[in-house]
Order: sequence, then structure tokens, then C-alpha cells
Amino acid sequence: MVMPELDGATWTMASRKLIPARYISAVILWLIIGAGILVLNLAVADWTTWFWIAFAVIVFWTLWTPARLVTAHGWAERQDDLVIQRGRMWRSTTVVPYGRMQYVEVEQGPILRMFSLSRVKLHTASPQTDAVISGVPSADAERLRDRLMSRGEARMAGL
Amino acid sequence: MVGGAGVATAIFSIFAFNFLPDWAQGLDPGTNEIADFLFANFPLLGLLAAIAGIILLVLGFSYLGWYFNQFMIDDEAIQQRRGVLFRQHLRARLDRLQAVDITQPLLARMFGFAAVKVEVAGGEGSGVELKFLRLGQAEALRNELLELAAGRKREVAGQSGSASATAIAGATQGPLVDSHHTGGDDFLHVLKDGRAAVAALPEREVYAVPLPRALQSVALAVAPTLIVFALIGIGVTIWGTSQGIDFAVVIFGGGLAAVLPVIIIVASLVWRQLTTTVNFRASISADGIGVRHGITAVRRQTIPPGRVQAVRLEQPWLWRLMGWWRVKLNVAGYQDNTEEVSTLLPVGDIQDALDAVWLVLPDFGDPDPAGTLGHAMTGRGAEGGFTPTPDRAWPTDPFQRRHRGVRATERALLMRSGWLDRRLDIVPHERVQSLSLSQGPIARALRLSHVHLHSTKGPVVPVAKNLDAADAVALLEAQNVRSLRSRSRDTTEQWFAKVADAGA
Repeated sequence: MVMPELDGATWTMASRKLIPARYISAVILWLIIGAGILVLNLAVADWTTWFWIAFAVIVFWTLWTPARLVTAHGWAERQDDLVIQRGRMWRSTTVVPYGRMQYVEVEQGPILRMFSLSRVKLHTASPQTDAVISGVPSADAERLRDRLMSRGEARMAGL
Repeated sequence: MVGGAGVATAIFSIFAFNFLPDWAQGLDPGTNEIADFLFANFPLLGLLAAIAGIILLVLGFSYLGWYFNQFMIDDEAIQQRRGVLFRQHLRARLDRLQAVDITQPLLARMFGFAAVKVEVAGGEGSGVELKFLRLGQAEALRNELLELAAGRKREVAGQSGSASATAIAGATQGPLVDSHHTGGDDFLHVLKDGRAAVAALPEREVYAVPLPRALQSVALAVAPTLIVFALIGIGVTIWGTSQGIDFAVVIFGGGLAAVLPVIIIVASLVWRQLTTTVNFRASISADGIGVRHGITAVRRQTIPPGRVQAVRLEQPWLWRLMGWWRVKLNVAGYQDNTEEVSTLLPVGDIQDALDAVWLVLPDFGDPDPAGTLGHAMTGRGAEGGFTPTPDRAWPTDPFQRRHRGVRATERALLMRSGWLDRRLDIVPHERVQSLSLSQGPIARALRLSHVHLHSTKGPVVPVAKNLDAADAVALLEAQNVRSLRSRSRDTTEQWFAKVADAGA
């Protein structure tokens, strides 16, 4: 079991459509980096071997990780807080009490839009709060935000 | 006038570089023959004319800046209009007010001016700075703002007599006007008749840092860094001379070039510590904790205890000799230079440190706060009921491992860390914003996890590293429940009553 066992946590996993979305971003990244090294190779130098090795590492990493990361990413709405789980090699579990949320942001880039996915980001008064849920189906994202906000208002506490 | 100093310097430099050489040598190909003649025959005259021109220009700019800088205070907000070309209209709501500080940069201090800096909740650049005030006015304004923000009834003109009876030195009495105009529309007439200056609330001094101790503490704090750099320098010199390079070349060539940046870094470090330590004074009043410090620029700020999010007690290595501690805070609402505004006690013995903690956390939720804090500050391992870091953490945490520990009291979570330098972070349960648990691949192999408590922006970043994985999960869950419970019974509003009772 990837997800940690916490009291009252029913996990919702990130949408699997996030995997192809991640691969598309990865391909774009390869093209940019590859073109950069190629230009460097043609224009100035023949010492780009190490660059190509680094490139190969990046390609391998971006081929390997998306499926693993997306299947380890999810969130749980508990009675008083939202729990976000992410990462496989570097794992983190973030707990954001509803009463601490300042606002909830729903955002969507062009690639996520192609798959009708959204990213939901929770903000508290702390800059260290790193509470982002990637890969929420867009229709659900709006509803999730409204739900979180109304719970937040009900439990709002001062700073 | 004060903010114009920067502008003046810039303009002066431009003039100096572009025009002065020509004029001074009388080579200006001006169309005015008289000027030509004069400049040709009296080079000094050109110089004087240039200086006079610059002064006029600076005065003009300053006047414009001052003229267009207006503010107004009503029951709900402070409004400020500023800017000559790009006009700005700022409105800071008093109910969102976080802090009111008085600052005096060097130049302003020389002429008895001060600025009032108002911080409101709402992110970077949302604060208002009211400049061009006389020091007395600034103090009275600050008191008035704090009073208004506290939602108290203002004193009307008729009762100002009774208000000033409690006034302490420094507060101006009688009606306040804005920094300049006395005629024109309402916006320009701030705080006019009918609104008496609110007297400063009576203050009680809690502690002050004597000058010798301030200097000594800074010296001891930076000594290890200096010694390390000095040893590196000596090592390089010895190596250099042993290689047959001339001694002087080593010192003044390579050595100095490499050492110069280091000197600059250390100097800025020393300076920063000096400015927060020298002249430091803390006192309490009903508004909160008044703190002032500074050498060239003086800063006076009030820390409302309800805004304190986290406390850090720290002890640089050599301070152990003297038994000194430093106390820093995360205060909600300060967005910029949190480093400068976050020192509650720059140096003090253990009793001062305990007093300082008690000021911001009067109810520690522990029958023996001094004893618990004592353990927390100097203990190691599981001593004093702490949850320690297991010994198997040695590969990734060789030094701090034995000193790490976490413990929850009724009201706050204590997190101890450090090796040569000691640190203790205290986060009241109700101040936790969010929490997280993290684990990298090596930590997983060692069955360890880190627990982070997310606090507001500031020098305190509370984290309990390398806890046993099971302990960490338990801590995360337990802390979450504690924070939830404490939030529903937050009592910082009665802060003054508590401190006043206990302190009397």
C-alpha cells in the first residue's frame, strides 16, 4: 500500500490521465534541451559528450517517474483537514486544517487543459505550506474548491 | 526630505560625472556670453553654481515628494496618497493592522524626524509608511493607531486633559495635524481638532542590554567563524611560503584577494548583530511588547503577543561560557526584513530568556515551565520527557542526533536541536498553520522521518528531524489534534491582564 494509513482517511487518487500529460511535458523538455545541446555542438564545440550523458539521464528519469509518481499521489478529505500524499522516493504527507486555509487556487495550463485536468493549491499564512494536488479532473476541482472553502469558513480561526 | 537623500546622491553623481569637469575648466560651450566669460575667468564660480543648482533641485524634488505625500486617518482606515508622476492611493484597513513601528534612519535621526511604518495583513507591499513626521508626532500617531486598531473609544477633545494626565514623556499633547498643510481639503487635514493625541499607555521596562554585554556577545558569537577563517588564512600563508613564494606576495597577493570577500561577509554579519543588540530595550504595555534597538538607525516596534507564531531560543557556541541565550520570534504580518524585526532578546542570561519566553507565552501549560525549559535548552536524548532521535540516525545526522528531541506540553510543542550551537523552537499548538511528514530514500532505509510544522514567515522554521518513523506519524497525528483543540480556545486577547497580574 502506497498511501499511509491515517485515522479517517479515505484516499482519492490523482487521475491517471496525469501520466500522459506528464509525458507530453517531458517530450517538450527533451526537445528544448536536445535542441540546445545540438546548437552548442554545431556552433562551438565538440566537448558536448557530458551534456548528452546528462540529457540521457534526464530522458531516463522523465520516462521512469511519471507513472510511479502519479500512482502515489492522492488526497483525503477528513473531518477537519485535508491530507495530501505525494512522492515515492521522497515522500511527503501534508496536513492542512480547513480552518487554516486562506484561499484555494485552481489552475490549469495548456497541457492539463488537453486532458481536462486541474491543479488545486491550498494557501495558508505560512510560506512553507506546500499543499498542491495535481491531476484533479476539472469538474471535480471546482467542486473540491467550493467544498474546501465552505468548510474553511465554518472553521476559520484567527492567525 | 529624508527619503530624498538617495535621490540627491544619485543626481549629484550624475552632475558630477557629466557636467562638473567642463564647467570647472570653463569649457562649457554655452550660448550665454556672460556665463562663458564668468566661467572662463572664474572656474570656481561654475562649481558653486552647479552646487547651488543641485541643492535647489534636491530641495525642489524633496518639496514635491513632501507636498504630494498626504495621509488621512478615519475610523476604518489609513489612507495615503503619494507620488509625483505616478500617483498612488493606498488604503490600509485598521482592522487588518498587524504592527505599527517607528523608524529613524540616520539622517532623520539627526534632524529629529521619524517615520511610522504600518503593516497590515495582505502580503508584500501592502503596508503604509508615513514619513516626514516629527518624532513626537510619530509617537503620538503610533499610539493613536494602536488605540484605534484595538477598537477602543477615542478620547474626544474635551477629555484630552485626562488622557494627557497619563501621558509619558515623548508624546505630544493637543491636536495633531498632518505633516505639513494647515489648509485645503479634508484629505490634507488629518487628525485635526476634536481628536486629541492619544497618550502612550504606561510602559514598564522588562530588560535592557548593557553596552559591554552587547559588544562581548557579538564578539563571542562571531569568534568561531573568525577563528576558522584565520586558520585557513594562516594555513594558506604557511603553504605558500613553503612553496618558496615570497611571504609578502602570499599575504598581499593571493591571500588578501581571497580574504577580502570573507572580511566583507563577516563585517556585515557583525554589523547586523550589532544593530539588533546595541541599545536594546524591551518593555510591556497594554499594546504589547515594545522593543527598540539600533545604532545609526533606531527602530521602535510593538509586538502584539497575539501575533507571535513561534519562538526560538538559541545559543551560539561560545555563549555557553557566559550562559547567554538569544530569543527570536516569528511575528505574523511582517513581510519584509523579518530578520531585523524578529529579535525579542538579543542576548541575556537564562533568567532573561525565560522572562522573554514568558512575555509571549505567559501560559506555558506546564506546572514547572522554568524546569521544563531548562531541560529543553540544555538537555540531550530522552531527558525531561523528550522523544529523542534514535542512534541509528548517525550516518546522516552525526552531530546533532544526540541533542534532537521533541516534546509537547499542554500549550506548545518544544523542538530541540543543535550541536555546538544550541536551538530550541517553541510553537504554541494553536499557531500551527499546517503540518507535514517527509522521508527521503536514506531516511526510509533507516526507518526515520521528519516532521515539519509550518509557521509564518520569519527566522523560526520549526522542524523535528530524524524521528523514528512510527514516532513521527504519531507526532503528526497528535499535534494535528492538539492544534485543532487549542484553536477553539485561543486566549491571547487577555494577554495584558495575565502579564500584568503575574508581573505585579
